[in-house]
Amino acid sequence: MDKQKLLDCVRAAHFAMLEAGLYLDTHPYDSEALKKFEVYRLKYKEFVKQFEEQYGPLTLCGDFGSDGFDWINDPWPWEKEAN
Amino acid sequence: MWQYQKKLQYPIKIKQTNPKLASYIMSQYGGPDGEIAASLRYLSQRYAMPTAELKGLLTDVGTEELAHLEMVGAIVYQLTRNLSDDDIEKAGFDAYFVDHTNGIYPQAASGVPFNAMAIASKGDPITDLHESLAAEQKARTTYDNILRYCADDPDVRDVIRFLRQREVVHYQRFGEGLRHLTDRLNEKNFYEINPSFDK
Repeated sequence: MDKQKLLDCVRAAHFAMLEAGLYLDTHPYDSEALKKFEVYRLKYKEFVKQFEEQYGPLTLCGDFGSDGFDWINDPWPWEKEAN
Repeated sequence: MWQYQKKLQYPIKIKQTNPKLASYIMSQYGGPDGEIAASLRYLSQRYAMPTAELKGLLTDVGTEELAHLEMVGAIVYQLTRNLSDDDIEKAGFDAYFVDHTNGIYPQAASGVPFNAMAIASKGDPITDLHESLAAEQKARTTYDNILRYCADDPDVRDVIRFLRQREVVHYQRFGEGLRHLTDRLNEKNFYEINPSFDK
């Protein structure tokens, strides 16, 4: 998948996980919501894995490529090219 | 974006409460050289940084400062648990107590609420890195001043020493960052241009 498309998948899965997480903060025993949270969480982890394998780390503890400390590579998130 | 890690960067376990000491240490939460100012300074300055190395450095140090903000909050929290009215008055914690009970509020040791003037972001990376270097030294001095009042509390002293040491490490890295930048500029006149604005 192309970089921006895959990043959109990471974003969407993360947002769904975060949104379900907020709901669970106030409804921690809602089993339906818990199931959904788990689906989003696994999707998020899978997309992050795919993204990092191809395009470098999303977090400092993410998967690095073989050619050095690619954490610092441009573009950074506030730059248009990253979006 | 950011994601919370449910742990402190360095463990804090304070056995003895001490509201007087809390009111000093609070300065590193919301005082002029505190961790809010530090994190917001670097995370704002990073937009003007011209190289990948400097964008990374400001992002990573700014992120670590958020972790330090949490640690200072945890110290103040643990130092102000289970206080009696008498404890509060004797420690001179009463003025703070009236305004905030024992909640965590960003203010200086002098009682002045956090002021965004403590954050400097000039849009010139040479200027901003000098500001950052100075900020680390000011925070180091503040931790040194706090340590003068921690002699009989090893639990607090140990954490403050850790935080103080991080200021020293950040100062070293910012110094390297400044050198990395000037190495890319006209060696006869580093100040000929604003490396962020002039191309």
